[in-house]
Amino acid sequence: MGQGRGARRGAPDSGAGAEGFPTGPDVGEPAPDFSLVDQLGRAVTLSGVLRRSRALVVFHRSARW
Amino acid sequence: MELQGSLPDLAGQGIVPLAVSCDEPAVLAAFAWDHGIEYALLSDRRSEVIRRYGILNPELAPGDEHYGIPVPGSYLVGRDGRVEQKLFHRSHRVREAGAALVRRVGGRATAGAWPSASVSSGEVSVSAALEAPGLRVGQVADVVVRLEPAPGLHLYGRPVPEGLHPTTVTVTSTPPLEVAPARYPPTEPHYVRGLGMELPAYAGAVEVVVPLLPERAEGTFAIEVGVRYQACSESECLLPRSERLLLEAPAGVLVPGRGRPA
Repeated sequence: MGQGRGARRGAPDSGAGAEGFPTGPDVGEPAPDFSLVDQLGRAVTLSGVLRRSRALVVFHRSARW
Repeated sequence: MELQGSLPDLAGQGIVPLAVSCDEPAVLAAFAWDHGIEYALLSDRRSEVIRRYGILNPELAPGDEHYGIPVPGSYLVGRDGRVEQKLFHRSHRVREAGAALVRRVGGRATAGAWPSASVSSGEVSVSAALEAPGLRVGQVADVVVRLEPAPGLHLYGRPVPEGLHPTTVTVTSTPPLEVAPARYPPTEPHYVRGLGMELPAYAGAVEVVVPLLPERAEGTFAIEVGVRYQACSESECLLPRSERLLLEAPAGVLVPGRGRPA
């Protein structure tokens, strides 16, 4: 695992670091847990969500731009 | 974020979306209100989670107005806490549309419902899909064309020497609509022994994205996707081929709850 390119699925965009920018944990590696506040002030914990579903964790730059 | 319109698809697959940015909760609350967003927009104000994932945007230095933003991308996390899939765009400056994410994460879940077509020559399978159920005025919709060569074959980008054909995708529509330039993935140099030269090749399958910008919304658009390519093995190049795929896209399809792209 480690610095591998993850499960490539043939797509050229899923490599880790091959594009010259960091892309975080690879396929098969643990996704770091977190607890953050949502738009309504509720605490949301990744591990809590994973108790009942899978999660699509989307990192985006800003809601403003 | 355009995930709102994809919530039913995600729910159907047992997936909860969590959107993380370093915006303040008040900004997220206003954004959610304006766009009718029902999924969780999470505030990582000090970029602690972004750092924990190791995806702090490396182009910005401390002190920059936008320092702390992540490299945009997504992880599908399984119930065991491990990453099942990760989706980072080849150019991290490109915003990944929610529809594209769901299509990739969900595989075929939406592919049947949205306009798509495919053809295979035996050497290369070619498919084209509209990443939306239809076309709406003012909303960019991507046509994604995927070429999958058989094992041992490669497809080529530009430039190639005269006589060889790079992978080329052209999109036209009746009635006409604005078509943005096709986005091709990056190539890697690949030595072809039979030619004694290095060519700019794609590693495995090739996904070409062509954004469409509808200006009117009546009736049905007949979108013709032309694909030209030449596959080469280690020792020789096959004859160039052309394929035509037709997508019929209804205009004015309403996607409930989906706001303008942010």
